[in-house]
Amino acid sequence: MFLGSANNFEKVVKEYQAPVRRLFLNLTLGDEMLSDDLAQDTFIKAYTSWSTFRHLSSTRTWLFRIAYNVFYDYKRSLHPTDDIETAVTVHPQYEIDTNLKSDLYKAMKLLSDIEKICVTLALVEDQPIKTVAKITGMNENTVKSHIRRGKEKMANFLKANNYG
Amino acid sequence: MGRKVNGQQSTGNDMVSKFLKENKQTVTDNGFTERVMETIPSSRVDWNRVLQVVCYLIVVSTIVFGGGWKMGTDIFDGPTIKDIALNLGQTCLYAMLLVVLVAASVLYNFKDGLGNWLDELGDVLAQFIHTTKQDVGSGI
Repeated sequence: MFLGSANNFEKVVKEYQAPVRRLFLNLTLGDEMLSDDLAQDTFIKAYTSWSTFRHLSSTRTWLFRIAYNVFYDYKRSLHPTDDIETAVTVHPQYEIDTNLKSDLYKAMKLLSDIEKICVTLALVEDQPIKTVAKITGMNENTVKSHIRRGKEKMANFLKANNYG
Repeated sequence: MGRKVNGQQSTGNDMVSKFLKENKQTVTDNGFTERVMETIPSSRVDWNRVLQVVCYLIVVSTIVFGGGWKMGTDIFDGPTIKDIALNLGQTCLYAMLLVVLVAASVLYNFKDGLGNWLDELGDVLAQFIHTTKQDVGSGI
């Protein structure tokens, strides 16, 4: 694939906008405007750094990796001392947001950022653990731990809300 | 979204996976791609187009300055069989060069489609392996 052409890049955006925006929707607990801003940053970075992409992974994986970095940078800009692996809240506005759009975001709210990322990539986007590890730069066992903890938290929420 | 599954006995893991699948958002484009395309840097060199132009210039130069035009007109002007045979080697060379250049240009353009296809194949294989692992109980 060659991204020097704007037409070709447009195809890439059209094809991958859904998974990238869905990842950000889960990370921002349904904030569509913020999600779109972060997704837009992701695709612009992809366009400008295409020459560094060596096709050692799929385009989807590469875009998820950029999205992860964009989100990391965004988090750092909000709270320079926070670490994405330990931070629980995404944005101050969510602390007072008691009217989240769906149970999905209510359940996601209980997860740390890195748990949200791992759970979304593995269980929503069906990415293999190995790929999630590559995207997040963590080893596979750490990814599995984050997913297990995320699932436990979500399971407790679901049980408390009459699911299952 | 948020459909509740009452009275169903399932493990926590199955319940979460099922919940996430049922609540997977359908994200429609709604002008997102257009907004992205409006903001990408426009000064980037379109190397694809540059290569195309270079290929076409080489082909045209070869024909005009390499005697290809004259050979063509000679042949069509009704030369003898001997003349055609003499020119055949050189004509073949030009024809081959032309084919190679055009093929290179076409391949370069269709490389996009090939790349996309390979990406998709990789994704499908990865998901198949992931699903198979889950099926045999070695998943998380």
